[in-house]
Amino acid sequence: MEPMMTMMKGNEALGEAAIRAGCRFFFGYPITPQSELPAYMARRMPEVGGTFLQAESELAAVNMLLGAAATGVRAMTSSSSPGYSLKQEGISYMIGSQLPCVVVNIMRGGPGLGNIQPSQSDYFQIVKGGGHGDYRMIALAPAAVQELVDLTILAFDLADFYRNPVALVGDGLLGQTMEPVSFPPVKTTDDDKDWALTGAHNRPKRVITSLELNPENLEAHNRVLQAKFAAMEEREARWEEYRCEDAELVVVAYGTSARIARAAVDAARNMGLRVGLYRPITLWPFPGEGLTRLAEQGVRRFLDVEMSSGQMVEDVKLAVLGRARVDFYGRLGGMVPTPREILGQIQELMGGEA
Amino acid sequence: MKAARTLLLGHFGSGKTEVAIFLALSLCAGQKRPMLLDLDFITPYYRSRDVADELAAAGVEVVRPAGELWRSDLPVVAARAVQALTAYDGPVVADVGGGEGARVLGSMRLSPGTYEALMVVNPYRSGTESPEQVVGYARWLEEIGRIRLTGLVNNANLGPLTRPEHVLEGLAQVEEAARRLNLPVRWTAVRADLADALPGLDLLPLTLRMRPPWEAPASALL
Repeated sequence: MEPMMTMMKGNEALGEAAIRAGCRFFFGYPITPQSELPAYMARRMPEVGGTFLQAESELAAVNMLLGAAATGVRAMTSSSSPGYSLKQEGISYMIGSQLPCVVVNIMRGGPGLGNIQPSQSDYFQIVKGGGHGDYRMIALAPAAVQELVDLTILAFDLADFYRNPVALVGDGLLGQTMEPVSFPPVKTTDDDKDWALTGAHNRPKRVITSLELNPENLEAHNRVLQAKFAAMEEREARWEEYRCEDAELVVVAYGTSARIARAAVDAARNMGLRVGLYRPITLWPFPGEGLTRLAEQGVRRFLDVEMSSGQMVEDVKLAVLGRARVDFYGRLGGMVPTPREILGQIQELMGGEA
Repeated sequence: MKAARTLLLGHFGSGKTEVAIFLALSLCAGQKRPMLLDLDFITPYYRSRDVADELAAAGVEVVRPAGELWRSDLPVVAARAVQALTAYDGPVVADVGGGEGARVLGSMRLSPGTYEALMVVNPYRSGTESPEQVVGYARWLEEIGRIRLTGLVNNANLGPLTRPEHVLEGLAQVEEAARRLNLPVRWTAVRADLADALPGLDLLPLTLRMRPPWEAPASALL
């Protein structure tokens, strides 16, 4: 028996997955190309006894998220690039306050207002910390609608486990593409959150804040956060290797770019070229371990492909650390590479070595 | 086709654009050039305007907002689209935006009897998965579009996973919805490669154009 499949756009599937994961509070503000998500939440939240609130701005939405998260409920906000910029301050405050939540960025062309076409040019902002302070957050980057469902559910679990916001990263194409999906049964935990603000009746009061005037205490607090980030780096790196076994050249790409690159890799294999694909599923922690191993095993070249001017490629180079050559191919401003373009790059690089 | 003006409505993601393109192309053999009105400003992706050049080469004029505005998702309706629906004497196919997008028709106040209005239904699409949901959706579209539906189009599919039995099981669902609405099911739309496995049905065999870049046919790679 095949599981019950239904056709959903990425943005809708993300919303449904969040609800299945127990998310009952959504605060957002419309922006293309993620508006189907707040629209979906506006319709679904009342059906499950949840709260949908269209805030007056992205700033308001992210601070409503902070308030909800402080009470221990599962909560989410979403936006696209310009709106994600506006949420940076709130993200920093939530990390400082050790609050779990999920923040979605369905990226579009930039900088500035840019356009409404798909892009991956917010990698630095998401991965290196667009807000202030010494912080890190897990960033999950699905490449298909079903994976978007699975990683949405995982995002809520990771956020709760580490008491830290988790970024769910896609682009306009993933948000707008419709594919058959099924929803796995979700085990929602009712773990007692002994830090949550639930009313201090018959117990000592709890305080949630990111303010600490005493620098010794703030340094100690930062050490606690750094220990969490180290644990995340140790345990949460995720990636997929595809046809890498005997590869001479490995394409590195995430999200939509990876899906397109995979078609190019298959075409290259059909032509007898030994090519594989390395797809980071977490952008932070960056899964460099597998890349290092591939370079040590004899992969001679890596081709990093992004819908940006080359952001993740810096992390690829750090992982490869000079053991192999790293080339880059990117499209900018909302342009999407075709499998043919990537195949052309592969052929050029491999031909150049002959 | 009974009426020269065919309006395609439905849930977003129901397959309106693929059906609209098929119908417009099928009208190219006539004396007057068919016009395909892209009235979709609901979503900025997967719209008939994206393949306007290809359709123009085949003899279909795609009407979309002028200048760079066609790339936006702003509520812009080209004057030429209104003109086409009210005054053009050649065939017109209107690809209306999903769901709320039907409001654009509401603003035009079209007279009953001057058009055929078809709701495209994919019974595997979240939101139109039961006859009850389809009936509710159809009534809502009629209300906000100020039109009367004249038929349904079955577009039962699970994307690349679609098998002939999915189409047939879906058709039964759409027929039940049509019975409750007292409307005919005009056609069943299927991916062209499934057509031979579905004899005896009134089929629209579709060559899909609204495909993501990773589904480029192998031929495009060589």
